[in-house]
Amino acid sequence: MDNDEIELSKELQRQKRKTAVMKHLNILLFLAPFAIVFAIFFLYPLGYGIYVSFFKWNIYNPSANEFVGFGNYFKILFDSENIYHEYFMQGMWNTFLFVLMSVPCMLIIPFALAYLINMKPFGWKVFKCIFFAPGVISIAAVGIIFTELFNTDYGLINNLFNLQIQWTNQQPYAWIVILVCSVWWSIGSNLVIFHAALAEVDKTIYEAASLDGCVGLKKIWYITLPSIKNQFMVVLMTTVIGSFGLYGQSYLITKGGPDDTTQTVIMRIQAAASKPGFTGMVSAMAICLGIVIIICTVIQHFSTKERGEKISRRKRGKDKNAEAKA
Amino acid sequence: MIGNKKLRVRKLCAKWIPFAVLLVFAILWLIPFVWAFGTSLKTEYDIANHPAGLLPSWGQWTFERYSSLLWGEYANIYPVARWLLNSVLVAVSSTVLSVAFAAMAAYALVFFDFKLKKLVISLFLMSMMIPSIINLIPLYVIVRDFKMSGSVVGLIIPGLANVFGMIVIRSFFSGIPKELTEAATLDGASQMRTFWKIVVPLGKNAIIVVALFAFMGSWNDFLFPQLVLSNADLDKLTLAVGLTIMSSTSGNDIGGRLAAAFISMIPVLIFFICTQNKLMEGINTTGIK
Repeated sequence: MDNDEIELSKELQRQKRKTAVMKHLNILLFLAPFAIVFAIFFLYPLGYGIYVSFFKWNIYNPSANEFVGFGNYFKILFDSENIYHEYFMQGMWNTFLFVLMSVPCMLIIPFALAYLINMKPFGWKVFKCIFFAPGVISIAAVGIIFTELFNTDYGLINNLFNLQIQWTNQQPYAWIVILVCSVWWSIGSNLVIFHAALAEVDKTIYEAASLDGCVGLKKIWYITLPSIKNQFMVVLMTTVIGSFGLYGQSYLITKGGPDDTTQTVIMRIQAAASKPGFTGMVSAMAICLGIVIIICTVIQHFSTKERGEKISRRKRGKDKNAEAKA
Repeated sequence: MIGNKKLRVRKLCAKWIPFAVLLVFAILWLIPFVWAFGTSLKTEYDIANHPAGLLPSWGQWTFERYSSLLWGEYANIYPVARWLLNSVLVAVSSTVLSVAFAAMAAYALVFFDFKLKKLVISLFLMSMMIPSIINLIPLYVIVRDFKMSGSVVGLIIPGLANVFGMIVIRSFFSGIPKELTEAATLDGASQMRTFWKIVVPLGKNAIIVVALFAFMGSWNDFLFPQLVLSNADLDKLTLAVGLTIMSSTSGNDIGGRLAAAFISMIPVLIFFICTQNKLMEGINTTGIK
């Protein structure tokens, strides 16, 4: 009897151990492909990039690399003799200009269009598609189309309005081309988010507002915008982050010119990467830019926490509805 | 009576003014497409003499650029059909693999408990804060050291850990009742079978949205392919890289460039027309842009 019980508990223990081993094997099986790629192609390069940024890198003799601490960062941010300081400051300034110019356009235009689409006029679904469509096209094709649209001799714009402007060789025209191209290319997703937000606003609020004599722009300012505040913040911050990533438009259309006025930090980093070797300076420059973007991301994270909760609540509500129907 | 009329007028305005404004903007948005397509069909004479025409002069259109780019002599210099094939290959394989990896990882993180699970998840979450520009050059160096630069393999493999997609799929998997998978396991189904037959079908919607965005992301990726393929042979390029080279080397051949741009757009526009509802829905439910 006792022996049997011992045998049984041993058997149970063995079984338990076996299931535990199986469980861990399964975890490994499911998680490993993702985790391995993540480790090799995310964590390792991240660590490597940060490590390198603390060294004065010698591409011809790697053993002569010299640890300089935050020296590279210091040079980039403050040493006006250094070429990378110039690259970084100039690139950041240009990018900052672009953010200032583009963000208002990429908020106001899609908001206005979404507002009109939300009135559900004839063909609104088609309109929504038309505004969204450019966003799915590769920037390489977009770049070609806009370069030719603004071509001095054979472009549509100059010939349509009888102009002789060398769009990509002069400021402010070069910025105008980049801006027009960016707005055309990338308002789509902002518009979709705005439209979804507007469709959710309670119609009775509008009615009450118009009864109180609140109409037109006043209505938009006092009723509509406050009701979509959260989505507005999301769009604002993602647009700012997106605009900090300006690369393709200026690389393809203006090639950084005229006089480097549309050069961006990303273009400098890319140009440095195609040269042999890889210096601590470039890496430090990429990290400086990255930190600026991270700051934006953090702001977005805190300003949109509420929205995340709202979505999950809504989803739960929908699930309940679905269950009720079933 | 008069008030009634006024009301009717106002109602009409409320209906048609938005339409009119949207129509104007829609035309503005379509003009680049129409003009680019029209110009790619114009004869050289037409391009030089009627550059502002949206479409070629009547009876003057030529499809020669398209045929030449796709299978004619132009294809020797700019093998657009080959680039198209490469782009499709990269986009499809990285979509399939990255979504499979992401779904499997999400399954492990939702349906298993293990030590360090919280740590792993917060590591993934934190990694999303890191902008890709920080990793650009080190990643390129690694791809080069693995001898993957200059080929499409170097574009596919580094992108297979799609953290954002994994998080989205994970949040959908979390809504699946654990009793379902536990019951399946008790009935003797292996984990792979439970994953494939129960969890994946239930999380289908999230997986499709993640796949759509993975496809678009891969198709439109520009910066990294430019580096990886910077020394590649001409017929190993993807469309984005090839078009960039073409736009800086094809001189005054406006029509040829636009035709190539259009060829590159056709697959993705068809893709868009078929999936636009899901895409727009996906932007709202997941916040991917």
